[in-house]
Amino acid sequence: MNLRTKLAALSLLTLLLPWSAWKLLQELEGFLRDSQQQTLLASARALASAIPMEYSSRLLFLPERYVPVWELQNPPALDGYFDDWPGQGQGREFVTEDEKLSMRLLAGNHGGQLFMVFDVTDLAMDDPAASQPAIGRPRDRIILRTRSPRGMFSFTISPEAPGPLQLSSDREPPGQIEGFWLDRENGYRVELALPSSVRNTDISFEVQSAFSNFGQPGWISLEAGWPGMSRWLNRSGVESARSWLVDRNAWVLADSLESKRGDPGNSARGTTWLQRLLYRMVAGNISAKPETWPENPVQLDGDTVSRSLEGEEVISWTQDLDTAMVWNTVAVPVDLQGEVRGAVIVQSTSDGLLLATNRALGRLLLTTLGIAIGLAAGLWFFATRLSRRVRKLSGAVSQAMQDNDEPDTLPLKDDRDELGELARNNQKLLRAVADYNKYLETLASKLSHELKTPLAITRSSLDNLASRDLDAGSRQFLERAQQGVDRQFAIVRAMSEASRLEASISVAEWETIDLGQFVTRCVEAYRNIHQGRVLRTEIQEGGMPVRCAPDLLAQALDKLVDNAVSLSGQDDEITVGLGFTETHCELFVRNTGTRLPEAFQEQLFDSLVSLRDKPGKTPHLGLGLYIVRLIAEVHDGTVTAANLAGDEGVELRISIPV
Amino acid sequence: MAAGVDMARHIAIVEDEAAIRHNYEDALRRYGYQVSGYADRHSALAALQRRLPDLVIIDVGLGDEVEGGFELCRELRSLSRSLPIIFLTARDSDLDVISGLRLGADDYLTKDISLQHLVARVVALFRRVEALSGGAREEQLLERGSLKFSVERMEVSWKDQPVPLTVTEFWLIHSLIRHPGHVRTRQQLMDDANVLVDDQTITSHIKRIRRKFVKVDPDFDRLDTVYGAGYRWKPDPE
Repeated sequence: MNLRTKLAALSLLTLLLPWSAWKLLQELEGFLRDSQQQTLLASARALASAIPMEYSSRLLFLPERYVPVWELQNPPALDGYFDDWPGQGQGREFVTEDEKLSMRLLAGNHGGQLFMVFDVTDLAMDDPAASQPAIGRPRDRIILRTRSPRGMFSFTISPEAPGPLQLSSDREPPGQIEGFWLDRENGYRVELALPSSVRNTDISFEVQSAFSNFGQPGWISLEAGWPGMSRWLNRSGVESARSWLVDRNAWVLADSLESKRGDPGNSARGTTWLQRLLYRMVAGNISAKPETWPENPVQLDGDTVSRSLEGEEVISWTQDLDTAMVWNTVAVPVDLQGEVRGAVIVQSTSDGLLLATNRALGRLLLTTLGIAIGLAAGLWFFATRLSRRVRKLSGAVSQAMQDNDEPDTLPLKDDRDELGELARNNQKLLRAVADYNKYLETLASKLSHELKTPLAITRSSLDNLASRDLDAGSRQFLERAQQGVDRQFAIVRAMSEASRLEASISVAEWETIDLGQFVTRCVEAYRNIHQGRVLRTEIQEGGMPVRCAPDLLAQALDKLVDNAVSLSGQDDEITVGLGFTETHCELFVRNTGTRLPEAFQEQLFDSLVSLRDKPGKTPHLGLGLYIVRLIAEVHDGTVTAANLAGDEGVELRISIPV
Repeated sequence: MAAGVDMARHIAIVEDEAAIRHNYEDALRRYGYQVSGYADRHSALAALQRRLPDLVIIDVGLGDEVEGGFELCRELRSLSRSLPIIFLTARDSDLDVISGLRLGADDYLTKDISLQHLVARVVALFRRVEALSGGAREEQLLERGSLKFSVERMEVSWKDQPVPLTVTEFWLIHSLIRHPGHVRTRQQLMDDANVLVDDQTITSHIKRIRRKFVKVDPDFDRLDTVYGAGYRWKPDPE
């Protein structure tokens, strides 16, 4: 894992910041929600307990059976359709015992007229018997009776065909009503307009069909809506919430919105998917199944209301997944004389996210998120830069070490931070290494210089001694001593060879020569010197003339061949070769019979490094290959040593750019 | 071996290392020379100003003076233009300075030389001096085209211009021109010139010789390097 990845991983920690802000937001949202619902609950309780006397007594004495009558805004068209009725056809249901015949009854009031809709569903119509010819069987009919201070009327509704109706009372007093008969699948619908006020009017009806009968033996009172109560609810309730008063059967008696109809209220605004997503992430899913009520409900169904009618205080949150609208509904039972007589429902609607209405909080969220992203980007940038600088420095140092050379300047050397210090220390270190290398390189020549004088003393003393008359025994010792001194001089000369070479490099003569001929002639000479050894040449034809210092190259080749000769056995082969690549020409010397130790290959061409394991006749200081390296470097070339594939031997190769 | 003249030749040795000085003195005395030894530049200069010797052997490094020998050489040259001077050095780097003969040295030896070689050089140098001053004896003259080579006087000229060679260089050329066109290996050259040095030193000598000839004649190309083998003197084209 590199530095940049590590820092990038570390920068992920800054994501904790928006995460914690997120958590905070959720908490705040929860808190806001809680306080809203507490407000609603308190308001609902207050409403429930403070219902004005007039209405509470009406609620108390509400007849067991009644049909609610709605105050209609406009007179409905007599056409058998519900679209001009509130609550989309919510009405009181009446069902026969076998459930084959059922009826829904709606009643409404407008301008002193009573409107009613009988919506009859006759499942028996599907019976095969129904398709029998209807000879003699009674037709579908509804018998409606009304009782009011004006008298009792009775109407039989049984038209010959669907369509508009004109009905007259069956008996005295005479009365007339209008209506409309609409046939529909599995039943029919009759819409009527009666010239009768709602107050003090009771009705009863009978529904007859081919197979079953539907009778309503007693009178059912009509109960008009309580506009006063609606106004009171509107006045006393929470400003932004809508409240209802419902009876024991969840029929709406009063609706705060009714008193301010036309007010657009809280309608769902269009929300984007992003807002919805954000909302869901903050608030979580409250309830996937919203209790939807029509815009002007006549009966509030659902769990919330039914539970409250059992005497419970109920709080519910529902949500529209598509619009992110949220309803907070609170239902509180209305307890009169120890019995639940109804319930007060308070509902507030809001845009999904309460927080969204709070700009400061939204901005906090955005700011923390922005800061975190900025911080992460900054850290990443810093890490990238740091890692690039470290790589640059490390590359320069390793390059300098490879070149075995003191670098002029390392990158970052002038930087003021720790990396700059590291660069400076590295430079010191490299300089020390370079100095040490230089010291090693000059050590030999310095030593040889220092050793020459004492050796000269020894040799001249021995020479003087030799001119004396000595007995045979002494002369033998003298000769041994002289041999020893000769060998020491040989060593000293070898030691100073490198420094002499450096001197001769400066005066070397450069020529452009055919290296092929050059190698051939050299190898001929080597064959004379190393008689009895197998020396091959391997010269690539067609090489270009190369500009070089032939004296020096010959010297390098001498060293390589000497090296190969002394390292290999009498029967091993030595190959001297020349090859060309596109950019380089390469001189190589191969010999069989030896291998280089793997460990020291790179140091092989350094001063005073000898890898020979067995001591030879002539002293070996490890300067020969160092000289080869110097000569290769004079030609801007390199020298490499490698073991040949298999166990074929060793190859040393001088590579010179053309 | 005596010097062969009435008065023994006088050799001065300036060498700060007492043991070496005494050894050289002893050896040269044994060959019949009169020898005085000096340990530093000042005592040597004081004594030699009074009476010039016939030959001076000077060590380049004299005590604390790393190049005191060169200084002394300059001072002696100002006293006498013809005084034969041999340099003795332990350092390889001095050789180039001396060989340029800017200092007017007649030959130079490294300290690893044996006493026999030292005496041989001294004898050779005296012979050259004798030939130059005497001139009575008949010269043995070798001619190789434009090269004139006087063994007696140890003088070489190319296209009638003298080439100032040291004794060592003289013998190397002598070895080469005796068999024009033949390659002389470094070992053969060493034997002929009576020097015991390594191949590299021979290479340097040959280079210096070539430079000296080129100085006289920029088109000089007779000294041929045979890589891996040695050197040869290219005979004249015709």
